[in-house]
Amino acid sequence: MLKKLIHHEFIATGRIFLPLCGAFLVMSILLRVYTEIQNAWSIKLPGWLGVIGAIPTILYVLLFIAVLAATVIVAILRFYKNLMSEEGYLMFTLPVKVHQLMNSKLIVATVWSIVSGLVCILSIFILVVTPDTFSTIDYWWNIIYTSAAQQGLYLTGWLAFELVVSTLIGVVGSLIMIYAAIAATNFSGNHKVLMGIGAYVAINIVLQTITSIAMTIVGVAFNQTFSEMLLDSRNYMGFLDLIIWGSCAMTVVTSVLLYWGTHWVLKHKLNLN
Amino acid sequence: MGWTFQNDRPIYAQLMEQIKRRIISGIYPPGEKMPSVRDLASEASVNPNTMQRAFAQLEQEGLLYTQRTSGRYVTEDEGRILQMKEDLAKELTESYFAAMEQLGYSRVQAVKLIAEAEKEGKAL
Amino acid sequence: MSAILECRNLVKQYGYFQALKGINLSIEKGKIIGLLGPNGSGKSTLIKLANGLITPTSGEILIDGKAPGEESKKIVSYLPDKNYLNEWMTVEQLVRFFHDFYEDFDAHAALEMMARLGVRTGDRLKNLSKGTKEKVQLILVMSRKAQLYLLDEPIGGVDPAARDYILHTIISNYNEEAAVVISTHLISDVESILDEVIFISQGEIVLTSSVDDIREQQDQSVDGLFREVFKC
Repeated sequence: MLKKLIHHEFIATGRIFLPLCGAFLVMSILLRVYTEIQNAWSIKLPGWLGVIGAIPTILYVLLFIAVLAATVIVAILRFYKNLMSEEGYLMFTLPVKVHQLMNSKLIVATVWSIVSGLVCILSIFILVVTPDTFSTIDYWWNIIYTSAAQQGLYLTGWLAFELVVSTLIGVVGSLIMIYAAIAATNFSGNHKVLMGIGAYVAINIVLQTITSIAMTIVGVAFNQTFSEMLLDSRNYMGFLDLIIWGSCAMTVVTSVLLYWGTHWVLKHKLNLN
Repeated sequence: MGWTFQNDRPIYAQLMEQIKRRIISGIYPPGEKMPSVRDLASEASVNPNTMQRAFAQLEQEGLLYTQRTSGRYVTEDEGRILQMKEDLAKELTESYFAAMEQLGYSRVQAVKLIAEAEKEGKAL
Repeated sequence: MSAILECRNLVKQYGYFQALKGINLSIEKGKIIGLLGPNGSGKSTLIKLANGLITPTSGEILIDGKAPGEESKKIVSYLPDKNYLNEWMTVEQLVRFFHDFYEDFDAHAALEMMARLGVRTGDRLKNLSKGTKEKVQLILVMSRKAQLYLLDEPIGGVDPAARDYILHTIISNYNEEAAVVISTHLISDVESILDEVIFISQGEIVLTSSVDDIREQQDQSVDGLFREVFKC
């Protein structure tokens, strides 16, 4: 059943994302062609024509923002509209588990976040790529790598892996936090939007408070260890590992709690009007 | 012929009457297969259970019979249908008399009125 | 015979307002039952509880002996009293959706009824008229061979022709071993298709009876009795 839910979730979201990402990439190509033509013929549009000349760039920026915003907005709308409004009458009478409803939304929203991230990178690439782009990247990469290494930071594949994993955890965690806030709207009769925003802010405040308390405790308790670690640049990588995995663990714990809470609300306290 | 129902009597009884009329008037001819319970219920906008009950009663009265495999049929006994027709005619006549009596007409007067109406109908 | 729908001291409270005040009820299979009461009497609340869309404050509601959940949803076919389908979906997508999730859904029958209604499979829901939209919802719901149909106000605010269409669709498609619960305040319109009636008023059941009994014993229609019971 999860498969089928995911399938239909992709149909419902793809109708927004596919044209949007497509338009964005086409716009990237158009902008690139436009700038190439401008550069080749060194056209400089005078006065008010200059404003018109900026239109492709403005359109591009707007689409860029739209692609990034869409991942969040669609994630919110798909959870709120599809589950907590009239459409919930259909979704909550399907013979599926509440877990499966939540997971289908979570998985599909995560996939679209990754896709839109990749599309943005691809778009920038389309805008700037030249025959010697790769050698330029290589050149700068070497400089950055060497100077970081001199400070005791090694930009290895492992670090890249850590960043990818923590980004992924971050994305999933943010989605779960949004879902938890939306689930809280279940307890409000008439001011659902207000309730949702309020819950989101409240969750953030609580999490930040807990995080800073936890960090302070850890900081104080292991003050000695940390100070000693940081004395020696050979320990920097280990320290970085500690921070990345520590924050990942923190996100995982809070996400599991919020996921569980959301599930509890939707399963045992559901009140659709 | 549409299906209509009065408010003060059970629907199955009214269904029975209306099916009887249809048999008499030849809409459901003797020996013919009856529509299925569900189809007829749908046509008359009634509950299939109610139609089933009407069918069962009509079967008891010998107007319908069931063939185990192929469904329900109108009786082939045309004498039975004729008798039912006469019964119905008598009933209607009696109810006419009853209504006229309420207006203050005796049976003889009522018959006279009918005869006059029949003449007028011919003249037209 | 075991009940397909059973309520035991079922209470639903919204803030200080008691929508259902301790309902006890048992509905058996093979019958069409009218859940009749004025607006705001608790009809929709009861049906939503049976679907697990809201949770009881106290007491319990059981579908085939189990609390509403994944298992009960397999055997309950529900028509809400509002547009609950995705407006952007085409009729074909909707049929596929129902086919994907409900094992007892007859896609062939659904498509046939859609065609008879003059709806094309490529039509998007949002482009259909309000009346057609309601009929499409009903077709989807009635194309399931469910054990319990819960139809909330299926004929609310429709014209007589549409009402006939809806009643015919219900009668000719429901699973005869199932129970059908039709909630409405328009009693004369549905009276002829009901086996039994439940009168509900201000969150309480005031009468349960068979339609024939009411007509035989009270010499009046259910509609007449309803008007008497709920006289203002």
